Amino acid sequence: MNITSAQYVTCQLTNVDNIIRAIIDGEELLIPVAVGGRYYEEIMRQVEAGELTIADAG
Amino acid sequence: MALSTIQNNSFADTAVHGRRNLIINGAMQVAQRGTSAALTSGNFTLDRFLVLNSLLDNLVGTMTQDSDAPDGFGNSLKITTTTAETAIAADEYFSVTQYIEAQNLQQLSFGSSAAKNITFSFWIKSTQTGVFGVSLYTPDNAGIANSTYTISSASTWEYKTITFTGDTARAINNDNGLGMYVNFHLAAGTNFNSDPTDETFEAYSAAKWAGGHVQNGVITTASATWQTTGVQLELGSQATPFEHRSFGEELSLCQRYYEVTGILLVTNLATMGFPAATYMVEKRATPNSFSLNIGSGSGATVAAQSPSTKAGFYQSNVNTIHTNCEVRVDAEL
Repeated sequence: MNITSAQYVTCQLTNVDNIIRAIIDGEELLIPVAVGGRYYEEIMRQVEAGELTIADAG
Repeated sequence: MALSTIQNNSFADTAVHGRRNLIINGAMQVAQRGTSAALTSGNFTLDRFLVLNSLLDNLVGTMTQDSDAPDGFGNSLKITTTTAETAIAADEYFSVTQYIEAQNLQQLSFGSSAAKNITFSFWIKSTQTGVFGVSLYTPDNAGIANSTYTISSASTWEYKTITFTGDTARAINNDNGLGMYVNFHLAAGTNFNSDPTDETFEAYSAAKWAGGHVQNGVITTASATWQTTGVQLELGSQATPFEHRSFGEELSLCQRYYEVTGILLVTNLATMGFPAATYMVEKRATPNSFSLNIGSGSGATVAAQSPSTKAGFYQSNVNTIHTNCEVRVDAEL
């Protein structure tokens, strides 16, 4: 899984960062911030490994 | 018919009951993502069937929905190699796989003395003759069983059945996680096929992943093809006729894991409300991802509803223009 960018997105309803906008294998995906999700877990693994940084919400 | 004439064996596990097939989309009818995809590991084309490969460095090809099928079927899944892998190294493999949700496998009673045998049946056709591997891997407690089938005649549909002995030692969790890999092996290096074939479940090791698999020619031969349809996995020691389900039923089963739906995006959420949509089928879990195809403008995002995260989604950021939006929801295992 090739993740080339990741940024939190703040929900305008809840004011919570509940989505990560990421480019994965060349495709833009919205990743729910939810433990157990296939992409979320891989993003967090790469963050833990120092291979990826999630940018703050813009 | 008088009640006294019903035979007791009509209720036995060996009798042909409805809802026998544990495989979803075994007739290769549903293709929500499209009818062709590259052979990249993790890619799906036909719903519920994906490619798994390890370290293949030359292979280019496609996985497609094809109208060529044996009598009684309208479609097959077809692998076509465009650029062949020059050789299969020890650490390389290629499989076509379906993941089965764990709670759908509880009838097998794995991990108990009552564990049931299961029978795998399918139609197969390839330009390459020879011995191919299949395996069933249960990741919760790391069990695996494997077997082989032989394609005797090139480019001819053949029907195969294999029975696996139930696993009395390793249970499958009763949850919405991944309960079983059902693998067709098309290539395997020696790290993955060196253990002998054994239709009885054992503790997993890499050498058992494709134990007994021989024929790598589909992956190492340009223009080679491999096709399957009528894929069925059922309780018991006897293959029964394929359980045909209507397209609508099969689509609904697939939508638990992947759904293509839509929403009307708006430009002002405060004044217009937050548009929301309910899935056609509740998802297996909070989705892994959403993919948007926004008709016009930009900026919109969607998020899982809360607390019912498996029930639907809503627009969570404004779009620059009112527009329609296709939403692809992935809740795969």
